[in-house]
Amino acid sequence: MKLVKVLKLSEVTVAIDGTEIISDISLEIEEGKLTVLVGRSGAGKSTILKILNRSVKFSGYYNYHNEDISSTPVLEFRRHIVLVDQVPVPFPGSISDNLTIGCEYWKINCTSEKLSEILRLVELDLPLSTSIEKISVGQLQRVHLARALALDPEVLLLDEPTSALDALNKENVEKIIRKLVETGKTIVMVTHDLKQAERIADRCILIEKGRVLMNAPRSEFFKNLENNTDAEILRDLLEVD
Amino acid sequence: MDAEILRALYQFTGSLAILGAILGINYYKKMGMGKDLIVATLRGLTQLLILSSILLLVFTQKGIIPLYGILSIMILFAVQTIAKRLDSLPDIFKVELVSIATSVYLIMTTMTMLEVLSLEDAPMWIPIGGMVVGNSMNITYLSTERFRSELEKSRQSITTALNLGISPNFIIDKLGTVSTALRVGITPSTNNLRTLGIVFIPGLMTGLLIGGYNPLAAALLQVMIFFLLIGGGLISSLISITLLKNHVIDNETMTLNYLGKEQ
Repeated sequence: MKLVKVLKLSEVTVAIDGTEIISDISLEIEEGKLTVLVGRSGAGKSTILKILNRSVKFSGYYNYHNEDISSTPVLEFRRHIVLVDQVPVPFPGSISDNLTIGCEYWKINCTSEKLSEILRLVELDLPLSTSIEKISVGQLQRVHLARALALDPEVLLLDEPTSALDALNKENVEKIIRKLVETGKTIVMVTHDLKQAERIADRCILIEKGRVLMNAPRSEFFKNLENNTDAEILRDLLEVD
Repeated sequence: MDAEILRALYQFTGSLAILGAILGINYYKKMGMGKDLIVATLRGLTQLLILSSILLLVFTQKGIIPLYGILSIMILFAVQTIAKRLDSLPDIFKVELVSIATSVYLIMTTMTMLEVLSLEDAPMWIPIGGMVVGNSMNITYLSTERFRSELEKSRQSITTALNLGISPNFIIDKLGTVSTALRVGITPSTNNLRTLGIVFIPGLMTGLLIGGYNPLAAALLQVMIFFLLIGGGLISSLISITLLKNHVIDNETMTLNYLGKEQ
């Protein structure tokens, strides 16, 4: 079966105040797969997510289903390629208010049945009317994810979705992410945790100093990692718990 | 020399006794401020004498061009004052110039057309114009600064919404940012209105009463002035915030620009 490339970056560079943060990278995101960007802190992983979300200025080429993205308005584009930030930010009101904010703006029919289904998908067993102020950090992380899913986006961009969670919540969120991929969702995720990438990724991309060092399916990536990677980078990546 | 000036000179000479007492305390308590006090007194007196001469000249003006010209100069000074204090906001001088000029010209022209104010009566038209400008400046500054700080406070919420493809206007309205800013802007003026005559004794009405105006007419005029002041401030704040909403977002990346810190 031929894999469909949903997103494609070619020769993309990001420079801030004359300093290159991302240097001439090219990569493709496959449909229905979980692509994990790994790398040390400050390597440029989150900036790549911002490029994919178009929230940072860049030079180079960016295609969505083989079409240049520049003709699509940014906000319209983001309705299909949603970035879920590292820090879950609640909007005032109930869980329902948080889930429907995007639906309200985009005039998408978000019935309570649909919302309950999304909550089941993210394994959040709480009534929709629950006040957002009364839920835990782990639950808020799931609301954060559910809020993006309510828009039924084609691609989810997840920036360190488990960084603020304890081991149990982390494992649960990883399961949810895998479940979303099994249902056909395309996900690009950033993590600095190599072991997490090994547990859940379909494809891994190693980023270092704004460049792609390695890009391969998970098994191949981990088979070659030790031989092809600088010892210092490898040590830093493996030190993360 | 007319009697009025002689009387004022007599009163002023009397007040020098108080200055003498102040200097005496300064000497006795070794405060070391004698020179400063004398310089400050001379400077204040000179400044007021210059102001009086300018007012005498200004109050003899009549007609649309000189009065609107003077009003425009006041607007420019007000805009410059706000722009300096809010200089972290993009295009702030232009934004505030449009906001304050529109609101002040609108209020003053409407009042002139309704014959509440007359272009032939500069001693009334210009001070009221000055009050409208000054109040618009204060209210617009307070509400615009609050708008800026509310945006900074809600930065993460706004970013989250933008990441869902939600427009900046939609989320800013949803978070109540504009209504909060406007409320904060007019609160000092509404407090003054509420306590008018009890806590806050307005200068204009006092001046009218001293000048022999009927108390009822002076009170009605004062309340009318308050409506003009609050109305002018609210209009300029609303324009300022509406214009800024389009300037605080980077249209290429649809992200919130850095809006500076409280000054």
